Amino acid sequence: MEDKAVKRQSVQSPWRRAVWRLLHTPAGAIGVGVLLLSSGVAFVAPFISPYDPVIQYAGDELLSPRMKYLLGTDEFGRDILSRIIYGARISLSVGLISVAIGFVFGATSGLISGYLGGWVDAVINRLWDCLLAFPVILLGIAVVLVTGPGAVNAAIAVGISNIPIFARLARAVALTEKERDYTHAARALGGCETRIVFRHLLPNALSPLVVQSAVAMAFAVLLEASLSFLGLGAQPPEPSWGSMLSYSRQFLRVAWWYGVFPGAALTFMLIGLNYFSDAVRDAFDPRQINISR
Amino acid sequence: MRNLRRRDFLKAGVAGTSFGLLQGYGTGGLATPTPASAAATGIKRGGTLTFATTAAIQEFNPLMLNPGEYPYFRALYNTLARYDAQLKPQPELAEAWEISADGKTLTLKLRQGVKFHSGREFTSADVKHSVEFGQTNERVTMRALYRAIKQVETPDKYTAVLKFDSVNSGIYDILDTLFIIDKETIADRSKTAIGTGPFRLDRYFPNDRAEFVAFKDYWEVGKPYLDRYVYRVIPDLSSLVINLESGAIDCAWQISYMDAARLREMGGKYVVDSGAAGFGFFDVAINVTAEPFQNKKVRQAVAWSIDRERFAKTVMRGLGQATCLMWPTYSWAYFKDLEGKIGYDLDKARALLKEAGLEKGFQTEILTASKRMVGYGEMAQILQADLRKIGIDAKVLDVEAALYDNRTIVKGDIVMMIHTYGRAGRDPGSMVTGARAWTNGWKKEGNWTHFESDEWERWRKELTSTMDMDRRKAAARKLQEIALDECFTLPIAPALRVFAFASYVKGFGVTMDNSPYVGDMWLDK
Repeated sequence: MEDKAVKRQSVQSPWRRAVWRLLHTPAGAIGVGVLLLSSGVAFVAPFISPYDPVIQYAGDELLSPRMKYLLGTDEFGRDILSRIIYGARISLSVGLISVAIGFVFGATSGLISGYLGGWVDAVINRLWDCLLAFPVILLGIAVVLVTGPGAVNAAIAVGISNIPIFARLARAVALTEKERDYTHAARALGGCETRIVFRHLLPNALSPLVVQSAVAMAFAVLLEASLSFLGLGAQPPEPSWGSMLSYSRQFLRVAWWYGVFPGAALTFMLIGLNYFSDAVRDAFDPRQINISR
Repeated sequence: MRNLRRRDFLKAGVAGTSFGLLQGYGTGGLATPTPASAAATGIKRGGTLTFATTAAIQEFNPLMLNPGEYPYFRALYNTLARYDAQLKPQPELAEAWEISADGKTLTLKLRQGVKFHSGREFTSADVKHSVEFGQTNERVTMRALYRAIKQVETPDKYTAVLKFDSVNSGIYDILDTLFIIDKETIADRSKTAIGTGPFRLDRYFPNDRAEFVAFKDYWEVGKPYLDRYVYRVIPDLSSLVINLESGAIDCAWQISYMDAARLREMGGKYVVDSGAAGFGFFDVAINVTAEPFQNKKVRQAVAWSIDRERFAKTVMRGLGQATCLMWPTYSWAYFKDLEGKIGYDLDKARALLKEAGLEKGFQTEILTASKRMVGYGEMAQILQADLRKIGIDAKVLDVEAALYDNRTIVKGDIVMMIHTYGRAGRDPGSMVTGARAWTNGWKKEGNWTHFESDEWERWRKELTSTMDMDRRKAAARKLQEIALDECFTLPIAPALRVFAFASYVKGFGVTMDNSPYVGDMWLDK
């Protein structure tokens, strides 16, 4: 059986092999499971949510968990379960948007600066150095203060903080790959620089960028929760796990469920995303592949 | 809640007595300070009292009456007179006063030998300067009240003569609120403070704390009892109470209503005091020039869509009574028959919107600052949910206190905002005059509702410039009816600012503006 599995891996593409490895490790299975579950819940939120998450039910304020409200209600009589379900949408959306921003702008600028070198490389790198000089949360706060609070702006803020990290990774790959024979061959055949960067360098940079995307996703969810906790993320009445945690602090002594359940949801998703990013990293790690062979 | 009933009763007293006080026009008391016999009364001297609240000191400007900063006012400064527990004016820096027969001149005999913390002697020139500062500084809340003073004469060092154009119903409110500031250092108020109060500023760390030490040359012999007084800033409500319960602070102000109820139930370890009744009123202020609120019917629709009872019951935990009227129930300007003229009726609200041609609703914003005061954040969300029911999509802008002030006090740039107006427990004329959000002719200086009305101004002047009680009542009623019709301010409930302190803190008492008399406080431990 083991020989068959090894044989199957050896004949598959590196990407398919990575996916296979991802799904066949405990960490990967847990990570993928949590991600699928969270995504599914977020996707079908309107169908499975027992209540509208922003509707306030007068007279039902701060009710403990019961059949009518499985996870209790908040200080405005809103159903906490429904808000957690909808909150998953915001967390995942912010995560995806911010990773997309970081990936697109970071990878593009990194590949260009690494490939072209010279003053272009110097200018782009100094720009990203400036961004990296600030702690990520401070950078996020600064961006939101300029653009205004809100979930979309929080996603942009987190995305901007992602750009230098993706750029550094892509640039490192570009510096190595541009000296390879296949790059020289492409250039000798008359390939233009844009084609060389995006057709030849980018595919070779994808593995580390995908791993970084998985890591960045977990970080983005946490950062969005942090910004919302500070009142800079999703604005009332939009449900966000971070803002729910923030508001719940006042009521911890009288309504434990208000803080515990959003906190548990955030913990659950972050653990899953961390498992997922670890597993993705291992799946794309050539040394790990060699070991398994 | 301790003192609530007593204070309510006392405020009922002022409603009845304020007119009597003014009618009397007698000479003020001639009390001289008597050495506080600490030993005889069992008062213990010494120690440090730490008082915490959520608001940072923006600048040492007591006339700004910035919400949240009150706990240091009476440590650093004095006023000319102060109301006692029966709300009768008692001498402070003015030893005696006399009002002329025509009611237009107030002669103040100033206390001699009073020193500022810098060592300089307090004189009538300081009264003149404080009045002028109060009239002109753009951040002074009750400028309009002080502008009733047309001239200040200083015939000698210890006599100040305040001249008015007409009889003024708010004379004692002026004496009780006009803090005497130091003309030599007030320009440097962002860093330092000099007053005549029982404590002098020792150290100041912006946004964190101000530390005060007993002023050895304080004019009130024997006071203060404490060696040091510390004003701490703890912006987070839950941290504020945790600090109190852990013993890190001795007193907390503006705790949440839920914590107030919880501490009260804990028994004798803590004392919970609801502070001065009538200190403030929760309201929703609307800019009458902002689209689409130029249309009175839209403002009325908002007024009819607010569930005031729910706010009073769930957020204030029943400590405040919902109302649509401007004055508290104990005021003579409270007209019971007008209560309920605006209520919670969504169908009526929708009908008004339809009449305004906005039956499909519209988008707008609600400005609030949840860290500014307890209840601001909750009220914004309740209002948002209520407006949603009639099709108005309101975005809540929950901003920092400084930004909130910038948009209100500095720019007057609001659409709809969560707000509290103050001085509801004072003379009804003082309230409508001092409420900067409403005052006519203040568009450039901070009337952020931008409400302008000749009729309103006429009745306001009538209210403040006559001592005839029948005419005053008629004027107050007219003003109330205009407010109910124009809906530029939508009262919700009295805004109680709850104090909680350890039971070993003694001598606690507050002004009508919730500023603790720190010089009277001591520690029984």
